[in-house]
Amino acid sequence: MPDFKLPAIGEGVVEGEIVRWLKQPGDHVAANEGLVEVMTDKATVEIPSPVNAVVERHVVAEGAVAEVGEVIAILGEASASASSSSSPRSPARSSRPAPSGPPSASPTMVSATVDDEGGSAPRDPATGRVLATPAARALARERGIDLGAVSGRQGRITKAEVIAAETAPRLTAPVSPPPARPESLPSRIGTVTPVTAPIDVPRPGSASTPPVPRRIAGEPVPDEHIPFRGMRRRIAEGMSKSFFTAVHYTYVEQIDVSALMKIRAQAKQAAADEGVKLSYLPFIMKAVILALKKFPIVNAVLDEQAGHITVKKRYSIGIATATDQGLMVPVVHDADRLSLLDIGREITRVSDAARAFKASREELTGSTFTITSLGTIGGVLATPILNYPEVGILGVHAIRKTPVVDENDQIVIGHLMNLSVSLDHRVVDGFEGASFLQEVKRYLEDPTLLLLAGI
Amino acid sequence: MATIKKTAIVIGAGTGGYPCAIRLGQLGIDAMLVEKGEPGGVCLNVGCIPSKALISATKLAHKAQHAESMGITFGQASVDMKAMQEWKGGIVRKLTSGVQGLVKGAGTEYRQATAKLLGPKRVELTYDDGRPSDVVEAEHIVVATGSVPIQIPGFELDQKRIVDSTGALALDRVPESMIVIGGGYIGLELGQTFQRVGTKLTVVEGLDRILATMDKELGTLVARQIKADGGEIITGAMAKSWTERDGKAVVTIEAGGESREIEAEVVLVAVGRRPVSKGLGLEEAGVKVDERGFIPVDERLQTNVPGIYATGDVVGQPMLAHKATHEAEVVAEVIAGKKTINDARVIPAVVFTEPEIATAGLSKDEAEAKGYTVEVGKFPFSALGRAMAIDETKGFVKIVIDAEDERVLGVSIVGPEASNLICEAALGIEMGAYAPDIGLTIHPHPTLGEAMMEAAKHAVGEAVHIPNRKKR
Repeated sequence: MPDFKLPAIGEGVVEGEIVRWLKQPGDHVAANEGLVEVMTDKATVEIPSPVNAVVERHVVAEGAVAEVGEVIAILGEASASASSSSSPRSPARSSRPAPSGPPSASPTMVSATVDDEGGSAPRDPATGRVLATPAARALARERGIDLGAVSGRQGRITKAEVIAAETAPRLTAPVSPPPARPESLPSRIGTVTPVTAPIDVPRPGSASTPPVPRRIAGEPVPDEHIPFRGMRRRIAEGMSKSFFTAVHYTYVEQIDVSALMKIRAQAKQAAADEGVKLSYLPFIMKAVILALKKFPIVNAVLDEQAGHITVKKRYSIGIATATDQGLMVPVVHDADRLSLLDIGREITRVSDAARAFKASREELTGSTFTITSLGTIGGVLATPILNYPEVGILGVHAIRKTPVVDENDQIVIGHLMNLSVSLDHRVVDGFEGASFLQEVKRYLEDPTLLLLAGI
Repeated sequence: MATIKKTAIVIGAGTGGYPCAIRLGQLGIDAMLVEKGEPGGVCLNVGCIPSKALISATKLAHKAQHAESMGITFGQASVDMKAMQEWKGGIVRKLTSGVQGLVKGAGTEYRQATAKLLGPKRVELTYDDGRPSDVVEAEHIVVATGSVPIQIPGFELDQKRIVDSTGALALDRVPESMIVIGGGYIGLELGQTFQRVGTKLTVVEGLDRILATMDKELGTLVARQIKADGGEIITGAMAKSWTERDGKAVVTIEAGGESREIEAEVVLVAVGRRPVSKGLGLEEAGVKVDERGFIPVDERLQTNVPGIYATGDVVGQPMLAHKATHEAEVVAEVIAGKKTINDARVIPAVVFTEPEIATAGLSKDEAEAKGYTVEVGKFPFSALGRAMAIDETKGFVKIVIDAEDERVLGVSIVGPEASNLICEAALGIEMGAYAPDIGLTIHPHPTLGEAMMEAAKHAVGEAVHIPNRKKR
C-alpha cells in the first residue's frame, strides 16, 4: 500500500496547503490523473497520482499544511477486488452531511479532520490537536464538519458549537466559478440592495387597514460560516503581515490623461492588429518604471534582519488580479525591457493564467512593485495595502470627464484619473513618495515623454 | 459444509468482540459472533473480574486483621479457598451467560466454534463436536482474538507448581509461599492477593523496580506495602530455571551477576502477554501482522485489508479491556457506515495492587517530553478526612497541568479507590478541562474524591488544606 508523499513542487518550496482532494477515499485514480490541489506560497498546483490506484484514505485533510515529503494519502492497489463499487462517496472534507450508506456497503474513510492544523479552533499548543469534547468530536465527524473551522468559546469546542456551525449554511469550496463580479461590493456604502422578498401590497378597498409589516414565517436564517482556508487564509496572512509590519501612507494625485487618451486611441487599433488589446495599464506601467528608475528607493525591500535595504535592479511589476478564489498578483517580469506592446501582451497572458489558476510559481512571485487597477469599478481614492515586502503599490482609478481649467483659463472638459500610491514610510519618506508619483504624472500627462524614453 | 451469508462476523467474544457484536445487532447489521472458548474472554473468565473478586475478598480478610487501631480485633481469619473460588465462579458464570444473552438479545447470532480466515471475505468455522465445518461469507470481518500469557523458557506451565495468571486464579488453596516472576501489574495483583491471606511472597523483577512502566512514585508505595506485609522484592533479577525439591519449587535466579536459589510452593509466571494472531488464516487473507504478532490498524480499526478489522489486545498495547470495548464499539459503527473513528485521547489504566494505582493522560515526564511546561498539583490522602476515617491514608492524587493555560494533561492516583477516582480525571481530560474546572466543581464532603479537587487547586496554588507552592 504505497504512501503518497507530497512531492517537491518547486524550488525552495518546503510545504503546501491541501486545498482540495480531487479524489475521495474509494475513488479510483489513474496514473497522471489529478489527485489533489496543493497551494504553495501563491500558486495552486494540481498534483497527479504517480500510479494507477484506489485512494485508500487521506492522511492530511483539506485546509491542513503538509511538508514536502510528508505522507498525505494512502493509495491502495487498483485491484478488481477493491470494494469501491459500493462505497458511498461522501467526501471527507466539510460539506453537507451525506446520508449514511447502506449497512452492507464499505464505509467511507474519514480523515482525521479533528487534527487539522489551522482554522480558528482552540488547539493544544504542543500537539496542535483541536480541543473539543468527545461528543463534539463524534458529531462533527458524523456530520462532516471540520472542527478546525469551528470556534470554541470556552477554550474547547462543545457539542452546541458544532451544532451551531452545522446549521449555518456553509460555502462549499468554490469549484464552480461564481459570477464574474459581485453585484454589490461591500465597500460601496449606500448601495441599495434590491428587495427580493415579496411585499404585501395593500389592495384598493382595504386601505383602512393600516399596513402591518409582515415577516415571512419560518426560522431566522442563520449566519453563514465560510471555511477560512486555502487562498483566503493565504491572503489574510499576507495582508496582516503587510499591514502590521509596513508603515503605510497613501498619497493621491489627479492626472489629466487627455493626451494619453488620444495616443492610446490611435495605438489601440495598431495593437489590435498585433493581437494585443491595449489598455491604459501598459502606459501606466511604463510611467511607473521610469519613475522608479528616478526614485529607486521605491523599488526596494527592507531586510531588517540583515540590516539593510535592498534596492532592486529588476523592474518586475505585479498586477493585482481578482480571481474566483480571491486576490492573486501575477507578475510581468523585467517590464523595463519590454515594449508597450509586449507589456500589454504579457499583462494579458499572466493575468489570464492567474484567473485560470494555471499561473506558474515563477509567474506569481518576484515582483518588485505592484499596480492595482480599480478603474473599472470606479472610486475616488483608495489606500492600497502593500504587496509585502515591496515598499510601493499604485492604485489606478477610473478616468472621468471633469471640467478643468486649461492654459488659456478656459473651462474645458478634461479627462482626469486619480492615482493612489501607498508607500512604506520606513523606507520611503513623503518627499520621495510624492516626487515618485509626480514623476508618474509627468509621463502620463505628456505621453510624448514616454515615447522618447523608448523601451 | 454449509455456506452462511452474513454482513459481519466477529471472531472472539472477549471485550474486544462481544460489545461489537451487540452494537452491530443494535445497528441492524446481520452479524455473527464466534468464540471457541467461553464468552467474555480473558476479562470475564480469567482476568479482570475473577481477580477482582479474589482481591476484594482477601482485602477484607487483610483489613480485618489490621483493625486494632480502630478498636476492633478479630480472631485469626480462616480462609476457605474452595468456597471463595465457588463464589468467584458464580460471578463469572453470571457475567458470561449475561454476555450470551445480550448478544442474542441484540439480534446477533452466537456460535461456539473455531474460526479461520480463508480469504478477505470468507471464514471457516470448525466445531469441537465433530460436526462438519461451515463457511461464513461476510463483507466485514472483525478479528478480536485477544492475547495469552507469555511463557518463559525453563518454566513450563503445569498449573500446579508453575502457574500463569489463569492457574493462579484457580488455586483452591492458599499456598504457603509464592514466587512471582515479573513485577508488572498482573503478577503484583495476584501475588498480593495471596500475600494478604498469608502467603509468603517473593517478587522477581528483571528491571530495577516493579511497575517499571509507571511513574516511579506510584510503584514505590506498592513495594513498601509488599515489604510491610512480609514479602520480598528482588529487582534486576532473571529467573533461569527451577527444580522440584521437598515438595517445593526451587528457582535459580541471577541477580547482580550472582546466582542464587529461592524456593516456594507455587511459582507464578507473569512476564506479560502476547497477541493471538497465529493460525487464524490472517496470512491467507493478506492481513499484515507485525513482528511481535500485533495487527496494525488505522483509526477505524481497519487492517491493511479493506473489510477486515481488528480490536483489543491483538492490535497492541495497552492490553486493557476498556480499550478493547471502545474499539469494538467503534468498529461496529464503522461497519454500519457511520463516520466513527477511535479518537479517544485518554485510556485510563488501573492497577489493583495494595494500594491501588490509577492513571489517565500524561505523567509529568511524558508531558515534559512532549514539550509542555507543566505544573504539578498533589494532594496526599493523609491530609484527607475521609481517608483517615476509613483508615487508608497511604498515597496521593497527582495532577499534571499545562503551566501556560492550566489545562489538565494527566492525573495519577495511588491510594484507596484510585480505580474509581480516576474516572473523573478521564472525563476531564477527554473534555479538555482546566484545573479550575475540577477545582471549582463542588465535590461532596467527606469523600475520597475531594483529593482530586484539592490536587487541582494545589496545581494552581489555591489548595486550602495543604501548603501551596511559592508562586513563581
